[in-house]
Amino acid sequence: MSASGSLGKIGLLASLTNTAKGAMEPRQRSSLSATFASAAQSKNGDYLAVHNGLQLSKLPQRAHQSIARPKSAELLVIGRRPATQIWVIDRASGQIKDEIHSEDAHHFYGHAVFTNDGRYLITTEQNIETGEGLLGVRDAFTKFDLIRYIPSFGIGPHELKLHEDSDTLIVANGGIKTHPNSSRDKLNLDTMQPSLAYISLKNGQLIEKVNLPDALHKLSIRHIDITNDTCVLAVQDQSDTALPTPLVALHKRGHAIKFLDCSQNWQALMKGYCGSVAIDKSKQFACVTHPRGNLVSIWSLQSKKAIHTFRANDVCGVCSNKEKIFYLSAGSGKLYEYTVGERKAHVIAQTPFAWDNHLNII
Amino acid sequence: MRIINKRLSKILLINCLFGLSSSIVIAKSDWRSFNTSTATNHVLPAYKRLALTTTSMSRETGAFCESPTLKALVEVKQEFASALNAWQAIQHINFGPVETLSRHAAMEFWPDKKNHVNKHLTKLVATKNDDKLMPANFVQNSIAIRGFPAIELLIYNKDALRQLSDDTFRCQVLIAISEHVSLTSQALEKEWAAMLSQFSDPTQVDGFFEDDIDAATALLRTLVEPLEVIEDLKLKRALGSNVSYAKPKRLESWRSAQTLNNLKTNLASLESLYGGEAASNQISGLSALLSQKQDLAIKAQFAEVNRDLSRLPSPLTEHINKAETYAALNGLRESIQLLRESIEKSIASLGINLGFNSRDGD
Repeated sequence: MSASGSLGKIGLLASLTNTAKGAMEPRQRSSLSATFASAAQSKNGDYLAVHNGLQLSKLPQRAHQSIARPKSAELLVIGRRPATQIWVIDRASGQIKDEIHSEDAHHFYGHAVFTNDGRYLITTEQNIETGEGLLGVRDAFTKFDLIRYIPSFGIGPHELKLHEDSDTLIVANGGIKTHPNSSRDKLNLDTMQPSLAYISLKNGQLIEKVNLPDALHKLSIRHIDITNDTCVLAVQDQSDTALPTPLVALHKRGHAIKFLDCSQNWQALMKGYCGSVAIDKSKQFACVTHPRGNLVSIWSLQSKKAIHTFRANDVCGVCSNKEKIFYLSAGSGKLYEYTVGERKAHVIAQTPFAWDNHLNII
Repeated sequence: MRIINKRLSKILLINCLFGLSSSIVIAKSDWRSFNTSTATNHVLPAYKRLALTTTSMSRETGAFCESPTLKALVEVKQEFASALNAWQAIQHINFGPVETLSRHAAMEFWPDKKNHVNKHLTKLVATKNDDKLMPANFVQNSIAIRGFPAIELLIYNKDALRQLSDDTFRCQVLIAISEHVSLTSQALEKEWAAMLSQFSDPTQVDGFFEDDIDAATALLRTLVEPLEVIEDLKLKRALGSNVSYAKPKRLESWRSAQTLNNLKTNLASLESLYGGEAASNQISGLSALLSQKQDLAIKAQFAEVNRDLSRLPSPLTEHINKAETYAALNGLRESIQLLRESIEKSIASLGINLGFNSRDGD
């Protein structure tokens, strides 16, 4: 158990902005209408978990994704690749109440999901010796004991989602081989084969697996969001050229992956990189962040194309729990709300810490 | 400048949140002054020079192709060196107009890891299709052959004079690229002139920036990120792991032997961005925003880098494989790294986060 713990409410520190500023002018909001969770970093370099009403908990290391355990008051914060820890935080006190460790010679990739009943935690992991991508299944009822491993059917599994059928796991296999001894170096860029895998949680069998066309094999599939019949993929280009490339794709079971239409100019502004993706509640729109380009893109899933882009400095986290509305977080400390149809996002909070890669509503 | 530092020292405050180390708080109006003076006195004049020199180069290539003599080729080479130098002086500006339509990469497609410049140039020359050279269509040609490296290859190739005089279409390609570079440069100058109001009023409706801090962050990134480019791409990539693996053809502008000149121009331009151009009643350069101690340390590091540069022989291509030059280049790289780290720290002390997500995602 770490000595780290709650730093208390950030309410005193965060100024919830309602400043009037031209295009950035936030409409009057009584308070933050959602409860956000994210990893973060304070100005003096401490790693943090942000949750309940911008409460902060100090973490011993940098984290990646934060998820709430259903039917409980627990927040799980997954360490950043190649971390070997997940921290279980009591949302009421902000204290770290437990720490989950990966098995020997295994590490986490930063993302996880819970089953809807809050019992099973499924993480993306690597067997360091074999390089194999794995999904670890742990039981929350027994202090997160590892029950079993399921293959991820690809190298470098990153983000995963659980379908509403409660059985189908959808996994983004980034395709990039790394080894903790070589830091975060990429070891197989010439031969990488990213894939999207549909895997049964019940029996660990592969249901369906799709790859990218050969010419696009250097687009690492890293982040995904799903509806009941659609998966939106946000990829990262590893080809190391200045040539613009498609970065956002859609997949429906039984079909090939289809890249969504986007002008070359917008593609170039995205700098070959997507940081995070979310689908809104209407299931009509996806929002993708491009932190290297300080850019946000909005996609219509109906017309299958990019419909808008706007600048947001150091943006990366994105989530949604409403129709046509996305929440975005940035390293600048800004938290934004964006409504489809508007030209820009509105600042809803300015915090003194940098929001890390992923934002979640809990 | 010292007057400003004195004023700042009065508002220097110790930020107790999370036990933050001391940080200087810069007033919004001071950031705005820094932004407008940098855009007006540093960026715009450099684009103006680029537009002038590339136009002159374009004119000279036209004259050369009418009567391709050795003397005329030498003149084209001189104009090329002068235009390239103007580009190197503004290469660090990596946001704004130059981002749209991938114009930064088009002006100089480098590093060219897969020999795209040669391949696409050979292909275009073989088409003998005048339509492809029309200014309105030229943008449809590969990004690799729309800028300086393609011109360089055409005029510095071993047999350039014979090739260009025997094959009139090849010379027309040279004219078309030069004209494209000149038109792009003129457009960039015009668009940057229009962009000045974005700095004087960054919160305008549909503005490019979110606020003064966002605008300042974009400008300050152009001081830091290019130093990383110099360390990693311009030096480290060519130096390799030891002297016997050094690769002269990985040096920028190796054909025209402008490598060292490029480096000197880059550093001089970054030093002037740091120190500010003489301007009354404005905060000019990052230098004016820092404490005297920080400022003197950074100025000493610039002087160290300049000393390292002055000791290097030219052309570097012929000397990089010699132990003494190899060691000197490594020394230069280390000096630049130290300089960059100091600048990064000083920027952080002003409360500016250059990029948490944009520079380190997953």
